[in-house]
Amino acid sequence: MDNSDIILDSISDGVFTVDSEWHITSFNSAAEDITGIARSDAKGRFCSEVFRSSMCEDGCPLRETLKTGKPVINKTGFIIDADGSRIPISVSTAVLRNSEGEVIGGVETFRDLSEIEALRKELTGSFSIGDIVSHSPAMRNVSDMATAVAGSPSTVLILGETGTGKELLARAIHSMGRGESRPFVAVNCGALPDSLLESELFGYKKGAFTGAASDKPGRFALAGDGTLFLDEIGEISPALQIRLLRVLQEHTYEPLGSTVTETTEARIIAATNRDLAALVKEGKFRLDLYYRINVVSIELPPLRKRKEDIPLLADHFVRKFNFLQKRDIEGFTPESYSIMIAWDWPGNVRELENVIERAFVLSKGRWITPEQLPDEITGADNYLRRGNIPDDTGNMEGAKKTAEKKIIIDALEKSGFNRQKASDLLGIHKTTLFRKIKELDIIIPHGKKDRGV
Amino acid sequence: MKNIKTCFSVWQGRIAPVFDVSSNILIQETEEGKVKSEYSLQLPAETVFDRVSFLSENSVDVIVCGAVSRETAMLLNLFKIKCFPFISGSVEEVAAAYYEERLSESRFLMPGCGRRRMCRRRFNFHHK
Repeated sequence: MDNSDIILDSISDGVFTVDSEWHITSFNSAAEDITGIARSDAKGRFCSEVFRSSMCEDGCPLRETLKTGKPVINKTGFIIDADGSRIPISVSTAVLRNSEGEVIGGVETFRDLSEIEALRKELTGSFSIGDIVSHSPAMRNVSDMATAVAGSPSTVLILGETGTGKELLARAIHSMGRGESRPFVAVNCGALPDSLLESELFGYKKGAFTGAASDKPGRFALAGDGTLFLDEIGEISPALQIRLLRVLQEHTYEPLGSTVTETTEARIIAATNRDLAALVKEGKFRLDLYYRINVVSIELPPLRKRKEDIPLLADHFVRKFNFLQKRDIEGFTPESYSIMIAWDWPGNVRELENVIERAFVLSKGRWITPEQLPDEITGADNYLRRGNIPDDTGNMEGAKKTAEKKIIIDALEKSGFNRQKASDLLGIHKTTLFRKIKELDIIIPHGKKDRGV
Repeated sequence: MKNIKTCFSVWQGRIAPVFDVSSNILIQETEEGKVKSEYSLQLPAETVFDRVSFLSENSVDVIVCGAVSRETAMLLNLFKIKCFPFISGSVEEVAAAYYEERLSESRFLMPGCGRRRMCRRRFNFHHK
């Protein structure tokens, strides 16, 4: 290693130099770290094949510098590392000259902006997919998948429990892909009887049945080249499944009472809270239709599996209801937050929204207190409903664990979740209490995790 | 034997360094293992999705290209286009190596594509 390599290695930014043929002649250790490419592998190779930047092909700053003789400062783009990750970078360039002043190549310095990007995200604390806000890693996967499929015409199947936001996700995919200007039409297949659903989807002609006084376009026609969202797809009858399969395969259908075949360009997004594969096994859902709609599936996690989102969502709904009801509520007291985090939210985000709307009605002050939350979620037995330990096992071991859990929770509550005080109350060592909390899956409310530790 | 359409992402006579932003492709169609026709096309400039769906619309079965982000890899998978990523070299040499199943030779791999890296794994996508 010569002196120039030692100097280059002392620089925290990535630095490489190229000769006039675009071969890499030096590559410092920061460049090795950022790109994941060893100096020995980089030297002598074309810089574009080592650096792999979004700027290489069209807009290379080094080419511009060598052409104009002027440096380029902090031009931003991304590189793709050997793991396929896009790394945001900023690039600066300069001309390299020999002692006679002749141009012998160029030098490029680059800075990894990932940390700055990560810090920015940490400061904002969340990301959004359309109207869905989250900072849960589980939702990050949903976001990545939704973004990847948004522009695709493929049918998407959204899976998730009731109230997880399936329609919101469908709207987000529609907005990212087909754009706000095209229609988004939603149909709840479970809410309509079969005959009505058929006429809703495909439309009808005047006189098609008693009461059909004029032509009516169906939801497929209304969706045009936008998106048709079919919620509760698992509820449709076998007869309608056949008609729907034909539309998905051939993009054609006939309105009721019509002899003219219509075509549709609508993108289909279906959703269900049912296990479609199980329905197929039971013979209640056609296998061919299942394959047609299950091209890409995205599963929305229930709220109990992303509890870190509860404060974020709660604040979001407070802002929403403040706006809608012209109120000025500040938010929740710490006790209210703790109770809401402890609850398992079987009705998911929709239940949370309803609870907050109810609290707005009951609240006269500026803070939402536990008194304004429903009894079912503030009840003491709330804590016992959590975790994996059944309290109705009917056997000695289960009953013992349930009783143990209740005693520990009582002690924790009495001590204000101070683990030292709680262990004193229980007459056990603090480390035994920690072990029990973990074993019995006892969730310590947010903001009280460090007490007495 | 099915005719196969293979696409090479091209820039200045070599495999383009980054498929996510590349502009030009060379498509070769083989019949019974022999190249029967070839033509060049320009990829749409807008989004990665536009590029990948363009390949699908042109019935491309296989792509041989340079660096590929995971997002693009996911879309290629979605469109069932088999991908040989992180390849470098002159298009002529790479094409010959591809047909002779020699693309795993180290001289055709981009630097940094050591063992355990995504670029060493050929995306195991389905053929159409």
